[in-house]
This record gives sequence, C-alpha cells and structure tokens, in this order.
Amino acid sequence: MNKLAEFYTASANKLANLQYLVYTTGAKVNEQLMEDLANKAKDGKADTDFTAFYNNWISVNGKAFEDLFHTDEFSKLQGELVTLDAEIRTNTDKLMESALAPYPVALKSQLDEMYKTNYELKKQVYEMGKQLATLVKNSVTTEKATKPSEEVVEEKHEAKHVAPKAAAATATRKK
Amino acid sequence: MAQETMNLAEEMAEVSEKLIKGYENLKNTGEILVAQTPKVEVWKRDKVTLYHYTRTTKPVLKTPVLISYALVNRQDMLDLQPDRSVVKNLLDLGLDLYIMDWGYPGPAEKYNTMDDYINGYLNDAVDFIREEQSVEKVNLMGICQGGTFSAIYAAIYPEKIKNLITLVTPIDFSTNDGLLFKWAKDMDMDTLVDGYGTVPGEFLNSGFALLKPMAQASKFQNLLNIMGDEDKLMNYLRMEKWINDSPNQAGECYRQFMKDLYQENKLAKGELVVGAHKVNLKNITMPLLNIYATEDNLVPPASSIPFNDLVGTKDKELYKFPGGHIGVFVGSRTQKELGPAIEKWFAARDK
Repeated sequence: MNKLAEFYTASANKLANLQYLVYTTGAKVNEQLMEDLANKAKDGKADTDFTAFYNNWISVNGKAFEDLFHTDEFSKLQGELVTLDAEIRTNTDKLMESALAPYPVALKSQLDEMYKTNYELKKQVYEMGKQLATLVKNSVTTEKATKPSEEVVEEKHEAKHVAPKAAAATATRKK
Repeated sequence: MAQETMNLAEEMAEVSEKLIKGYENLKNTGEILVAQTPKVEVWKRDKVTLYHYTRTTKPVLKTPVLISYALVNRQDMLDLQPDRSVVKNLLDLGLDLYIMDWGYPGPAEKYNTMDDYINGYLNDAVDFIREEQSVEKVNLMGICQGGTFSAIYAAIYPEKIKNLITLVTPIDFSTNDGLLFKWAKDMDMDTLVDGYGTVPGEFLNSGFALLKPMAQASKFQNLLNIMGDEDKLMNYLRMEKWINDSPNQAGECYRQFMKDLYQENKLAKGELVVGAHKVNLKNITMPLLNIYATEDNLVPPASSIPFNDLVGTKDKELYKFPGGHIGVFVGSRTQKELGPAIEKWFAARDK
C-alpha cells in the first residue's frame, strides 16, 4: 500500500513537471502571437478573418510544441511518467488481488498462469504437428522408392492432405 | 470596424450553414465501411489470418505477393476505399495478392514473441502460399513494422522469397529524427510490458497523436469545412475509423521489438536473434525495392534509407516517394505512380 502511494505521489509530481513544461511553452507562444498580432494591426496588416488567425495560431503552436517534444527534458520526463503509470498498474493489481483473495473469483495472476500454460501447450502441439508432417512426408518418399508407381500415386495424394493438417494442428485451411 | 463586424457576421453565418449541412450528412451516415475489396480467408492459426484477394482474371505475374502490414495498426489502410486502394490498384494491375491479418491480441496473447510472429505465423503463411500455388518462392511486400518483420524473415529464409519490397520501413533505429525513435530510448520497456501484459492500442495511439501536436486542432477545423460534402465527410470518417482501430500489442513481441530494435538497434548491427535464428541482413540476396516517404514523421527516411547498404543483394533500388507515412497509401499519386511502379518492378523480376 505504501509503495503504491509512493508511486502515485511520484507520478503526480512528474505530471506536474510535464504540465509545467507544456503550460510555459503555450504561454510563451501566446504572448508572442499577441505581440505579432498587435504589430500587424499597427501596420494595417491584421488578419481579416478568423481562419487566417487560427491557421497562424496552429502553425506557431505546432512548431513550439514539436520543439518541446524533441527536447531531452520532455522525453525523459515522459519516459519516467510512463514507467510510474505502469508501476501503479502493477501495484494496483496486486492490491486488488489481495482484497479479492478470500472470494471465489479467478485472479489476474491465476489467469496469467493459465495463459502461459496455454501458450506453451499450443506451441508444443504446433511443433509436434510440424514434426508429424515431416515424418508423413518422409515416409511417403521412402515408400515411393520401394513401391510400384500406382500405389505411390494413391498414397501421395493421401499424404498431401494429411501432412498439412498435421503441420498446422491448430491452423485451419479454408479453400 | 464596420467591415470587420461584417466579416465576423458572414463567417458566423457560413459556419452555421456548414454545421447544418454537416449535421444532415452525419445523420444519414450508415456504417463506415473499409477494406471492401473482395477476399477469401484461406488460412488461420490462433488470431492470425491469411486472406487471398479475389481475382476475376488470371494474374499477369506468376509469383504471388504476400503483404505484411504492421502489428500496430490495421492493414485496412491499404484498402480504405475503392478509389484510394493500394490493394485494388495492384489487383487491377494484375498481381495475385495475399495479405496477413495479425488480428487483435488479447490478454491470452501476451506471451506471443517476435519468434512466434516471424518464424511461426509469417513462415506458415509463406509455406501455405508456396504449397497452394505450387511455387518455390513468393514475393514479399512489407509495410512499416511489417516491413521490418519482412526484412528479418527474408534474411532468415532467403530461399523462400523471390523479391522483397519494403515500404516506409524502419531498419536503422539509431536515428533520433523521429520523435518515436527518441522517446522509445527513454522508456523502461520491461516495467511497461510487465505492467500492461498486452500493451493497449490506445497507449500507442496517444504517442502517435503527439507527433503532430496541433494536427487534431486543424483536423477539426478542416472537418467543419468538409462535413457539408458527403463524399469528403465519408473519406474523413473512414480515415478516423482506421486511426482509432489500433490493436493491442502482444507484450513479449513488443518488448523485444522495442528493446532490441528501437533501443539497441540490433537489426542494423547484425546482433538480432529471433527464436533460434541470428538475423544477418547480408542474407537478403533477392532483389530489394526499398520505398520511403520524404516527409514521414513516424518512420523517418534516416531509418529506412540505410537498409540498402546492409543487404547482400546487388539488385537493390531506393524509391523516394514525396509525402508522409500515410500519404504513401492514400494519396492520388499512389494510384497513378506507386502502384504501377511496384507492378513494373515485380514484373521485371518474375522470370
């Protein structure tokens, strides 16, 4: 619980720093934009429609924020924030699990275990299917060398259908 | 002052009119359909599917083409709408096309690795096509991350690939030209993947949105201007549907992709290991066409261009396409220029 609270505090801190960077960039740009607008008005060249003003606003802001996002400071801060969010998630899950442990519900960690077993078993079946396909193919090749041609053609036809099915024990061919 | 008041009133009236027309159009909008070019599911394992596009005529080229798109977005980008469809264009030009659909990984797919995707699904799909079409080799066309996977695949199994095309594909990750390349180096991928299991598509999308921070604002402004035009509105909605359709990422695959490639640049250095295979790009001895976009901010040219210096083939071409990462697929120039160029390049190597 303490750990989770620490992560929340650290995350709020980093978020505040990040927001400060974004806010100061935005404020600087707006100040600059207003100055430019005033200068344009003085020279009698002020934007006459909202679209022109809006496009300029977007273009100047876009450039300023892209520059900000390219800085090491932003990149590092963002990286730290993402890490802290992931830590919060991990620790929240743990906390939830300890709260739910007495109840008859499947916990995330238990499901994860099942997913892992399922993944490993599927992989084993897949590998075995491939091995079986190779064995079937090889046996046809060997028999081809020892049997009369008519029988081989018949078995080859059969193997063509058996081997791929074995190779992709969990796959389906839909043609 | 009077003139300015007049302008303001006119603008407000114009905006109201646009909003009314747009509202009417939105009201009549049915389901937003994408990827409508007919195709047939021919192979499937777990959540990964291989589709074969339906042809009404015999293909012009004897070697079929397998398209491998990125895992981070949907391959529907190649077939957003009939008049902006790379797929339809290539079909019309006579190619026999297959496409990988990597599916939507859920919590159960969190353990899927790059090995599973490349040596498993992609390899099986290639073998399926080889057997189905009775050909020794297929043409492989990889896009973005799907291009990186294709390059890795072609380096491991050069005997199965006749020609390789990569489009907007990151290979050299040492660059910091693109924001994603810079940010990825400052992230703790282990903590991230351990925390999420399957990395949410929304997480990736929020990063993509920051690449052009004001794009959302100009997009909505543009929406106001086009929503009165039904066709333009539908174009916009199809694109929005695609943008927001971001599958989650299988954790283990994401972990290796980000750590080994984005952070340590192992592919370009010749140090990448995928499953039981060390990946040596010099093994790419088949012809290579490497297409990059000049204004690409997701996969900067600096990440794609060096690929041609890392491969073993002498038949290699670098194709510079003016535009951005997405413009390559939906721009009008794509239909007129890029599609025919791809067909011509394949045709010259279809002996």
